[in-house]
Amino acid sequence: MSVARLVVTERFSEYPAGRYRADGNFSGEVFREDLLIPLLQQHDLVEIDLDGAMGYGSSFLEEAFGGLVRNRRFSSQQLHQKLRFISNEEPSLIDEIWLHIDRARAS
Amino acid sequence: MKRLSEKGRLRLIRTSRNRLNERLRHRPVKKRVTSSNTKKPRPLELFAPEKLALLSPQCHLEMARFLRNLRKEALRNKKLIINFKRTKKVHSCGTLLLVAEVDRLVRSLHGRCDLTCTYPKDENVEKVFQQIGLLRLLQKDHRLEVTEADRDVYHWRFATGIEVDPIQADPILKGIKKQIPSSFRKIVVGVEEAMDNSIHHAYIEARGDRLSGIAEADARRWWMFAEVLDDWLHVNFCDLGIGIPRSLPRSWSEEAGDLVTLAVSKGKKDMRMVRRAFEIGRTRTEQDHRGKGLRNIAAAAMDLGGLLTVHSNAGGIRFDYREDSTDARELSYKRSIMGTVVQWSIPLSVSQVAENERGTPSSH
Repeated sequence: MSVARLVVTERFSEYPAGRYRADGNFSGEVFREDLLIPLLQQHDLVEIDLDGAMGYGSSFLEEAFGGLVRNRRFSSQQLHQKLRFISNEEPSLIDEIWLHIDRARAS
Repeated sequence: MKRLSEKGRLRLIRTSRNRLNERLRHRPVKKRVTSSNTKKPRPLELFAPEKLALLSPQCHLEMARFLRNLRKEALRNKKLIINFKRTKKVHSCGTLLLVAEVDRLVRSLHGRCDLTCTYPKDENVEKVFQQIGLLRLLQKDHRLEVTEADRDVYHWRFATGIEVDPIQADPILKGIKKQIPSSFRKIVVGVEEAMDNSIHHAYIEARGDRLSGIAEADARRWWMFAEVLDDWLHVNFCDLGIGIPRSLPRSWSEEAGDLVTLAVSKGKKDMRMVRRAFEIGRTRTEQDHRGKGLRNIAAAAMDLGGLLTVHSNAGGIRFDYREDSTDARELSYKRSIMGTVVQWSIPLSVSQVAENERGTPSSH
């Protein structure tokens, strides 16, 4: 089983924010399309370390993770098998992300 | 009175007859060139209000009136001076709105209007203006030294940007991290939501003022301040867009019952719309996965036991989350500020005590 580890502050930004690509270089759409989807396609398990960032807005989280289901890239069941999160600084973030994934409806 | 000579009397009659004829022909009377009217006219001076604040109706009215005049006269005059001699009190909400308007004018009317100011009489006010860069914006040199001893001034920080990118406010956010080490993320998330809200909703239509149509004036820009004063952290966020009431679906005003109560003032209508936006959390897009922004803005103040004040157009709302209180004070005003100012006020001592009680680490 191949496992990928993604530390958000190292490979993306200390300030992940915004929803769409047009919002800025570190938006949810950029994170999902340029980083997350390639990793999910190449590996069986992706471990995402959320610690160290200055904060995660709901728009970013919804677009980055809820967008995976909404845009029919993955089902929520697949994501439950393929994604793992680390958030020691703010454990509630993990619940929030799963809420976005489970609530997202494929369009 | 001196008696006129015959020659003088005839000249007077001739001049008045000529002037009458000119007037009858609807032509302006040519003025004689004298040394007194060859001098350049003095540039127009506009007096800034005594208090730069928004919370009281009087201050709100004076600010809105002053800013409206400023926009109008900046377009009419080649040179305009803001006179700060009367300004004695500066609150972060009113000051941020002024800085945002001045910044927008300077960017939009570059080369068309030379906007400058007088130094304030009050030394503290001058230091604040210096610290936030307002004097530089208005082409005035810094005369005073701001040190850490200037408690009310030293911690003021300013940032502006046109993207949902908090890195543009990095010095402010790092400053907040120093003040509330383990809770700073709540504020950062609140700020991110405010940025998102302003970029996606505040500029969907033209603002509708005299500068609309100029590219820089229509830019989706936000402005931000943070200050620490008397153990309170104040974080202010401002946009000069169409305001929350205008950014909501038109059907909302029908729901708010405003169509049947036509007598309701503009301020009260705006106040109701702002309140409903926070209560329902639904947005213009009406999509299921959207519309959490305003509620997350409130959550930052709620979780840290502080105050949240939102001024938008002629209305506003103030939530007080201290000591389990969830009071909401509605604010309605006579005139619109033509934009939105969000202010989070976090009591530093209380939030620090709460952090210590929870046993959270004091720094990251």
